[in-house]
Amino acid sequence: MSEQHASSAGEPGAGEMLREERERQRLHLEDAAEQLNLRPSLVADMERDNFEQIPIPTYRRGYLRAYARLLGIDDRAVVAAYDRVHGRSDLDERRVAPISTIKPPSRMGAIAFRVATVVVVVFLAVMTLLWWEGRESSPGYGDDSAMTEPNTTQQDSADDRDLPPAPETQPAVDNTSADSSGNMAGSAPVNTALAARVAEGGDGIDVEPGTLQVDTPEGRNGATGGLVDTGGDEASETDPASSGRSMQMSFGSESWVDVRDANGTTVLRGLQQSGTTATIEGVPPFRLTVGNANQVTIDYRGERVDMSQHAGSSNVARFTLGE
Amino acid sequence: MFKRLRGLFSNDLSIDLGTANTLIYVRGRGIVLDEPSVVAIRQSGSMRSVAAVGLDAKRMLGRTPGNITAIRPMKDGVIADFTVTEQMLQYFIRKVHQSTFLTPSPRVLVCVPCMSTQVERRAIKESAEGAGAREVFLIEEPMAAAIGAGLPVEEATGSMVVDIGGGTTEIAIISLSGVVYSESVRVGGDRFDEAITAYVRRHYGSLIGEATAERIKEEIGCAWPGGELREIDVRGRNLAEGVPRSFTLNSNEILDALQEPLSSIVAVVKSALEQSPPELASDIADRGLVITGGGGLLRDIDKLIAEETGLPVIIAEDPLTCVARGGGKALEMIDQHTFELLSTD
Repeated sequence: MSEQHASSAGEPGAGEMLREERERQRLHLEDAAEQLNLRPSLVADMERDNFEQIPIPTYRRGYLRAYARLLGIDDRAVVAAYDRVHGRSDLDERRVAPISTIKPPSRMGAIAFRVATVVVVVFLAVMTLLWWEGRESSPGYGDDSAMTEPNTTQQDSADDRDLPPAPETQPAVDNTSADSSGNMAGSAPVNTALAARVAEGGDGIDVEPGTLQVDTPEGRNGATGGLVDTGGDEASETDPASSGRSMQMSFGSESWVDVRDANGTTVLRGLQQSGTTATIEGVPPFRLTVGNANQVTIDYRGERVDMSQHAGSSNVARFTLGE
Repeated sequence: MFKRLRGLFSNDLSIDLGTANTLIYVRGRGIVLDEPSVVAIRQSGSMRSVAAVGLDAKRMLGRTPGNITAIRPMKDGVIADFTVTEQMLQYFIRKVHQSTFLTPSPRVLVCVPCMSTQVERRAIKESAEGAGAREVFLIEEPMAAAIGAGLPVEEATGSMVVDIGGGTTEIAIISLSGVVYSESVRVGGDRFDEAITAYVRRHYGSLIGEATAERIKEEIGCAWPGGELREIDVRGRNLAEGVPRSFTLNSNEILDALQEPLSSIVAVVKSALEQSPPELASDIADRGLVITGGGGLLRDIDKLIAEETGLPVIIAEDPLTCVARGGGKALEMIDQHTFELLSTD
């Protein structure tokens, strides 16, 4: 590394500046070296801008500054002269970002973050609440499309022309069912129809003897005992009402219903229109979900089911019949 | 988990948590903060709140009304007031993360005095964690100073660094990226100021404040006789008369005042040289020792140490920022595990 080219740039090199100053002060090289605690040969090399003896740039600059201060000249000028020749790349520094450009810390970011968090949490809470409310108010699971599902049982509509087979023979049934305006109104036609069917069966149907042994509550409590005893048999599987395999539902107003039997088969599902009745058959016990429960009447095994017991505050009844 | 997320929006920092000044080096950006380690606390009833930090707080030192106290939470290089240090760090860390939406959670490298105890190191680490740091690394101050000064710390040659800070003077002999010998003495810029205050009180019967003492030191302080004689006009409260009086001090008086702390530093440098292994001592004798830290700005301190030790002495370029810059360089090499980082576990 022979850097003898300092003067070639037109300006004196660092070593030359130091040597000129030392000579002007008539200071011996050895004396200067002694005061700097450096070897005279090293100082002499520095004056010749030869830094081979000092491989580490930090020390080179340090010695130059110390020498300049010893001679009482501006050390920055000497180091600048050295840098002109050797550059400052060896320092590998990034001294940037003047402090004055930094503003005091703002808390706005933190505040905005907190506000955003609160907004998101409130939004989620409101959405959850709305969803919950909606779930509570829509009977069943809110699946209105279920009304188009094919039912496994026949669905009677007193207002329609599509009349149920049993009441056909009884004009009185039509009259009463059409009159179904109140809660209890629905029960009349059902009972009538039931009686009619039982009577009809008693007349004509030949029942197998085995069915006689069917033990029904009605049989036991004697309510229909006469029929069973006299008719022999009609009480039978041909009449699902007494076997507990069937039930009657009357709807005083629109109601969403889901009925499953013991096999898990959906026997009735969907929105039932006001003023209709439905006869359901399946294997008991039945699991029922009935919306608008206080407008629905259910007769099972000849008994009226007390809906007010099952309907909760939301007027949706979830219960099991025939256990 | 959340800290890690916030970490994505934070820069790695190297903090020189000094007694007098705190410097922060941001990875990839350089030194972005250099402020006094002073916090002003406002007391209203039982509530304590931070009134000012850094430069603003330093202006309040010694000039505060009853409900405000200006505190220097670091003393002798270690934490004296844990809560206030944490608040100060929190303020500084936020200050260097201007535009982030999230509260910053950077990886932080903090420089600690080499003779600090495990308890003191843990306090510094917890304080940085409390201020929001995701991960805290510790490095010994002289090692950081040596890296910052550009010494060949990784080579198998001895380098000696004398870091004269605000609260402590750290001396270390470094070779192969490790500290071979280190010594620390609780003498630094603060002790210089105290010595000047005591001198003025003794010889002029007047009281001067910390800030005035520091100004005297910076303007006319020197460590070796024979230099240019400088003078300064100072005002202080006369103890006998009870009124402010003006008087003139010259650099020789200050040299006299500083004798005691300076001799402590010289003694510890000599002791380190005595203790150093002969091979490293010969390296140091050949190349000399390097002074870093604010003490390096005291006029002729290099001459004093050179005369006392007979070694070449050089003052690092920009001595005030050496530790922070060195910490920054270590931070950039942190993933390579080139340097021995301290652990408090």
